[in-house]
Amino acid sequence: MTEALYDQELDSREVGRIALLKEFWAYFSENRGAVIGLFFFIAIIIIAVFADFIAPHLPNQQFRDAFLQPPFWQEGGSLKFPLGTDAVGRDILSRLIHGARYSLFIGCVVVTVALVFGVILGLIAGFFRGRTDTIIMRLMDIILSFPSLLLALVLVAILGPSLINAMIAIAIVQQPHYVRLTRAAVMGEMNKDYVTAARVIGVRRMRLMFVTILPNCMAPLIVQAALSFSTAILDAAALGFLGMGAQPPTPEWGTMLAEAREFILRAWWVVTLPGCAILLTVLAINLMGDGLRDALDPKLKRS
Amino acid sequence: MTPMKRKLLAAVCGASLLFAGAATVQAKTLVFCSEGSPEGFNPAFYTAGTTFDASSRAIFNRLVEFERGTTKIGPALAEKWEVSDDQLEYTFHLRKGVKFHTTKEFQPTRDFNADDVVFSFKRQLDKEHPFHGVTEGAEYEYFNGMSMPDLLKDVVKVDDYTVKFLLNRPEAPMIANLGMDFASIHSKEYADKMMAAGIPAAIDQKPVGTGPFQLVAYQKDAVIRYKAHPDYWDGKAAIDDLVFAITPDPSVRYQKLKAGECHVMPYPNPADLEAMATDPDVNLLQQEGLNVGYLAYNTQVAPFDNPKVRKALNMAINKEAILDAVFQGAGKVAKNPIPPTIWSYNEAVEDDPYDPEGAKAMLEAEGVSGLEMKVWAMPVQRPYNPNARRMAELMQADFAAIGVDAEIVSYEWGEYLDRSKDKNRDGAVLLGWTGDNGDPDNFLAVLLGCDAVGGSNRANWCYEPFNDLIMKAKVVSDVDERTKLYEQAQVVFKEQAPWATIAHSVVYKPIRKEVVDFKIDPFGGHIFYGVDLK
Amino acid sequence: MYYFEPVTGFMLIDSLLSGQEGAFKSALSHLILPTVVLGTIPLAVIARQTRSAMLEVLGEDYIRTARAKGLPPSRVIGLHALRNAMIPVITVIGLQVGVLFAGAILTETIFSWPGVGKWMVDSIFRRDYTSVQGGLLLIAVIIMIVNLFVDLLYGLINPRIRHTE
Repeated sequence: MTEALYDQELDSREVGRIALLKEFWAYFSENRGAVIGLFFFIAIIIIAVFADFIAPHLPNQQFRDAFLQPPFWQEGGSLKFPLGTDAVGRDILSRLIHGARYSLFIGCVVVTVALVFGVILGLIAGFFRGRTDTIIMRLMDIILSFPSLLLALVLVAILGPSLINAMIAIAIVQQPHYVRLTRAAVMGEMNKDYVTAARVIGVRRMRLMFVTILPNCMAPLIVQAALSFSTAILDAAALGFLGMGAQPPTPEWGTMLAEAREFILRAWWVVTLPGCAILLTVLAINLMGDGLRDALDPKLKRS
Repeated sequence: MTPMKRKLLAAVCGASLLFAGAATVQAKTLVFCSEGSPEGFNPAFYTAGTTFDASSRAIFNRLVEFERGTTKIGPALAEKWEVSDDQLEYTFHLRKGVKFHTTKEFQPTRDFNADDVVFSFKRQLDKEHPFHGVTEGAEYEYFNGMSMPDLLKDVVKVDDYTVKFLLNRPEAPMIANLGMDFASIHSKEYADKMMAAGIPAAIDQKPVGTGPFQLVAYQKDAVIRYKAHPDYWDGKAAIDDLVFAITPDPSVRYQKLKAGECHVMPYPNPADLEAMATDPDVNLLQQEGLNVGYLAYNTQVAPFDNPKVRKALNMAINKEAILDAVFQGAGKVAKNPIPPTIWSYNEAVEDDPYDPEGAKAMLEAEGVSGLEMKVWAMPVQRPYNPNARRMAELMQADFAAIGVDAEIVSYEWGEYLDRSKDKNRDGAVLLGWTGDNGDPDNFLAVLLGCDAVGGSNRANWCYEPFNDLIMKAKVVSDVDERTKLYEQAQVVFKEQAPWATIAHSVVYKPIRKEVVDFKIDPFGGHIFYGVDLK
Repeated sequence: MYYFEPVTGFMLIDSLLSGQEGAFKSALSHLILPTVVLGTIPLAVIARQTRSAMLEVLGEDYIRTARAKGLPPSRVIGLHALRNAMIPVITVIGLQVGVLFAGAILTETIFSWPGVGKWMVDSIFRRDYTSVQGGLLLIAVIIMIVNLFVDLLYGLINPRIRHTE
């Protein structure tokens, strides 16, 4: 299959790309959940980008005359604060909207860092094999033998609690998955004819690694990236919840949840809404990731 | 496998025996959902109320003790005492027939006597005392913090039931000091026995005292169990068993209280108070706390060495909003460094007005612009401050309104206390104090005196006129005269503004309806002797 | 409030050993909520994995044979299919132990349970690095042992794995 695509691409790159995309979309749109997830995700991106225009108030603006006001449909609520206010009178809707920024930012940074380093390490391990491979893979095995959240927690404890450190810690914890995936894919590709051909022609090592082999290993990596995007958001929220992630008054969802925990009996909206935001976002990304896997992963492709 | 089996079998047999015993008598068990694990069981080493609840207030007695629920001092292990005319000699006549606890490790052969008193104080005072350093890393924090090593010349046994305390200088609150937790009386006989057995540190881990309850078992972060001391000198406690179920989360504590899994809980969530007040199973006790919450500037670092700058910042803080949002109304705006329930509280002092415009103008007049500062917020809930982070966030917004950029920092609680003592500390620190002997000296000297700079004086504020006043008040014994001096000191304090005084909280104690005669301790403690269950 | 001496350290067993009436029930009822919370995530993962594995196995010829023989569907699904579908499922269950420990950190914090997770978080906050190291090591060892156990289970479930060298 891949070889066929490769040939096609050589023939006419433009046509090949469009055909590829069309095929991809055909598979992807077959999964209705994935499409819904995708649209939801795009909506979140738009909200995050235009947060300053969409949000009715500033996220950290405190309204001293409106502590713990309920959402508008409840008695005592008003449309000025559609989803109510928190304990220091900040509009929850605005905080959630701005929080989307943080969550997407966390997801992007973590996935990028983990992907870049993971792919490089995986390529090296899969390409050179031997001792290099052993060292890298054992190191990754060690990281994998700890629960990810716990390891991230320890790393943050050492680095000091802040959003940046939390992101670094989560990226380190997630990177072994990429290394393993890349390595496996590279090892699969290494024996293929086109690689041998490229070697015979005398392609330089770096070019062989990054230009010839890597693009053919991207499918599982893209799937993994989409899925770990949601894991990153969840982990960051968990760290924030434990007081080890973003520090108040940052409107990060996990931190908001942790700060509001004491109000669970008295003001449900302060606690429930950030939780719902996390839930929906992660659900959307996971649905989208499933669709991606169906469309990209050749093993699961229905023939 | 076999020994394991045998053990299990033994356990089953033992358990069934227990069951048979339990069926005949219904023991009264009171469960207290405490907020944390104690640091240890020797109250002399620590300063946290949590530790005192678990040690000194249950297991030990002192020579003199505060009457339960009041700040009035009365006799306990000492029946009466005399003070010499020059106030340098205190003679205590001890109670006879006081029995120590009998435990697995220790069966007392004699009653409490003067040796125990001398032992308990000499251990803290005398660095050469064989028991001074038996517990590694432990320091006599309170004893030193009260400047006892300078004050106390010696503790002498006159006869078996008479002890003399010799002082280097007069100290007006001396008797009240001896009612504090660090002055708990330990058993010398037990100490000697453990020393002979080669495990002297055991006296700090498996405490033996004369108190109303004796320790049965302790599982860190889970449970502490006590049983009533059968031969307690003031009569056996009304409850048979006392259990501290350690529950750090206030919402969980409330859930447990509602479910009847505990009878008394400390430090409720301010947010839950409304629900508690209407709960038919719960009695919500309340009392104005003997405490103050404050923001201490570091007065040795520019520009906070300028009283006008401090004053301007004080004027920027909207205390009413803090009271609403953080205390949920369960408190009172503070204007003095001592709470109104303490004598010598100066009603005449005027609080700084909430005036952001004026504050801004004042900062400009002092030539301070673009000021950046840090606000330290503690990570834990304290009686004087239910949520320091939230308070800091409110202050951050208030300061932003006058053009001051505040950053919130926080550390783990132990670290927080430690780092905030640093004289070069960057930033103002949120903290508070609950009085522990009902004397104004306990607030003004401990928190604002020159001796305490680099320690409990977090403002690092050493101001001669103020210090002279409180030092003078220390040695005068006439209460009227002391009152005058302290009132004056409060005026000086307000002018100089080393702190922003924030609030005196109201202390709430939710207890279940079946608990009889529980009294809120003004010093923030939890005392279960005298409490009964319906 | 019940009290019993910790003999084994397992609350359920200890409460039974103590012989107090209602102690076991009380212990059990206090476990329900945390268990549900902690179990939900692995539940979803395992259910999905089982579904896909079963779908694959149900298409196999020997299942059709079993059906053709006229075996009751419960036997076909419960015995013939499930057993062979278990291999990937067990792998996932082994991997979930790590997730479980991570979940325990949050669950124990919320429910105020003095477990390993809460202990770890507390030591991290206290900067008690010795405890953190010990705890991490303990958890890593437990995860490794569980995975070893899973590997051994393969042979138990599938004779083909047992007999190949």
